[in-house]
Amino acid sequence: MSNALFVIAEKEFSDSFRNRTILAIFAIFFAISVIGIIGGIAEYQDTLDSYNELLSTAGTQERGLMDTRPSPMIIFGSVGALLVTMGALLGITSGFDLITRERETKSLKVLLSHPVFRDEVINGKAIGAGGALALIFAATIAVSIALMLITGIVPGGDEWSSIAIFSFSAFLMIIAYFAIALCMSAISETSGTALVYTLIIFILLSGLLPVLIENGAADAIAGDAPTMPRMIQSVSIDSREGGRNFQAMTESEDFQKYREDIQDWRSRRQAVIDIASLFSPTMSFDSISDALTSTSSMTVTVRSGPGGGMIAQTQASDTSESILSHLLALLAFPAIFFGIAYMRFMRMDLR
Amino acid sequence: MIELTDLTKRYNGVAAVDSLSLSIGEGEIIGLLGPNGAGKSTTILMTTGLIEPDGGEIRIAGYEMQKEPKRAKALIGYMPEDVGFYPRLTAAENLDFFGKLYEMEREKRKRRIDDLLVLVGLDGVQTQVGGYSKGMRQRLGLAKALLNEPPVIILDEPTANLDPVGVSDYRRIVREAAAAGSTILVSSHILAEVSVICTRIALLSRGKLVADGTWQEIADHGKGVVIRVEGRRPLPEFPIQGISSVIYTPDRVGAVIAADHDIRDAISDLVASAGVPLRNLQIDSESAEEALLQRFREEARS
Repeated sequence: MSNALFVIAEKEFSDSFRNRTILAIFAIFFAISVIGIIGGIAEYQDTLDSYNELLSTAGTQERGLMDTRPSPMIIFGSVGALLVTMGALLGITSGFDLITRERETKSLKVLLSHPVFRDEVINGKAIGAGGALALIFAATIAVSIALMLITGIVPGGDEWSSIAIFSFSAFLMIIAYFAIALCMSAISETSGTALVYTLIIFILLSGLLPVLIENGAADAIAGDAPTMPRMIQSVSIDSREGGRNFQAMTESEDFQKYREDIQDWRSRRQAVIDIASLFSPTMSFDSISDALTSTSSMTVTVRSGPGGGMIAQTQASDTSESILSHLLALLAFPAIFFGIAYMRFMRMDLR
Repeated sequence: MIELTDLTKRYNGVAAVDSLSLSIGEGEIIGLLGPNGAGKSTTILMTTGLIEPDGGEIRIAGYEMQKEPKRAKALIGYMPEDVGFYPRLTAAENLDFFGKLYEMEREKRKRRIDDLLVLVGLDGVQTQVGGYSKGMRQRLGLAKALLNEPPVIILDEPTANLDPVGVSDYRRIVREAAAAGSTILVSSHILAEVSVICTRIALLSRGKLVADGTWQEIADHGKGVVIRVEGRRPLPEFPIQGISSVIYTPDRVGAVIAADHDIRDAISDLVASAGVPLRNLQIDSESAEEALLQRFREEARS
């Protein structure tokens, strides 16, 4: 790291902790995360108690159909939604005036008249402010994990991996909004304009896009859902608590076709939602968070067996591919927006 | 120390600076003058490496700005017009940050900052720069321009927000820096200020250098000069070529002489040969300023 890059990054890092707005949002982010974790711990304990109670009363056949032991990832699932809003705001607050502030205080000319390259200025600013965000986020995650451990919840090996992926994706989402804010700061004349543009993009990506996709675009692209045949009797048990979807039905050709059609339709619809969610850091993080923390990631199909008995078919959803694509999308967001900010800053007219 | 060769910058096809060549030596204090749109700011921005020229070359102590910008910039102390600092930092913290960019050693940096804050009268001010007046920011700007003990100092409208004490301090500091060997380039609209501080003037018009010389040489170009003479006894007649009029004071110990060029040497000799000790012999600077203003107007009209 060159001297100038290090000096600018160091200043930006310490500036983040002098900025009262960033500190206030950090305090709220931290408090909400800790409260969310405490609530998640209580929820996990309740789920675990229910599971243990069911386990003690269930027979051998029921045990085979029962859900796996509740995962401590339930705890992180409870803070995911809070992280989306406050984390994004933290990223936006750190980035929206990084460049415009220099222009408004007229310090940019002074700074660039020193022996520094322009790219060292924008890179240093991004590294410094991003580093401050990383520290804030790491502190929050560390406290969250400490709370879990203090209350006797010790994650297993896979769960540690899930916590790491969850934390990394949450951080990437924050960095994505930071990069968007930095980009707006580089293309705007004033901090106020940059903030307005960034908030518009945030609302668009985190609020409007999910609603439009879920309620309109997905159905429009996937088409109408197939109609269930009248003669078929079916019982559908959707157990959120158990985390598995049970479907019991009588066999017939019409119903077989309906079942295939509805699965195809659901797949098409989900594919549209999955692809669209790649264009929103919020939706990408939500997808990863859901995949990691949802207890309904296993689908159990119960069918009548040859002797009239019931056969349970368990199919683990393949979530790793989805997580990877969303992680890549979360990496692409900062890269694209930082790239735009970089180009704009390098060509900025200093007159 | 500063070499500008065929410097050109165009905006939307219009030349803001057009083939400007200027050489400024060690210890010179040069004033960059010209009407609005003459290209002064663009020249300064190119010289400090803040904007790229479309053509030509800038050399600072031999280092070409376009090819070795870091080395060239390391030799410059620059104070822009309406200088800005980081408002959440104190004066010392601001200077410390810029000192790190110059790769000054910690102890040297601290000593230099302490000395400079005393020099510009900001020692003991512990508040954040955000609370500073424009004049205080300008004083800090001057300290920043001197921070790395630069051989080249570039000042853009340096006295615009200073009070009379600040202006006096600024003149003293700039003269001391020039005496120590620094080359100083000053851009200013205040002609009187330039006349007091600068040893040389470069007059720009429409991006071109239209005059380069001392204050008087430029003011005299095609114009007359007004000379004030004061003796300790009544003055003699002035049968010197080039004089258009002589107006004596009632007691004849003073006179205002209008001439077509600077004839102070001839006046001095004549007064001395008449046995009259001289009390004062100077160009009337107000008239010189008026003459320069006239040139400004002519250049602006052209």
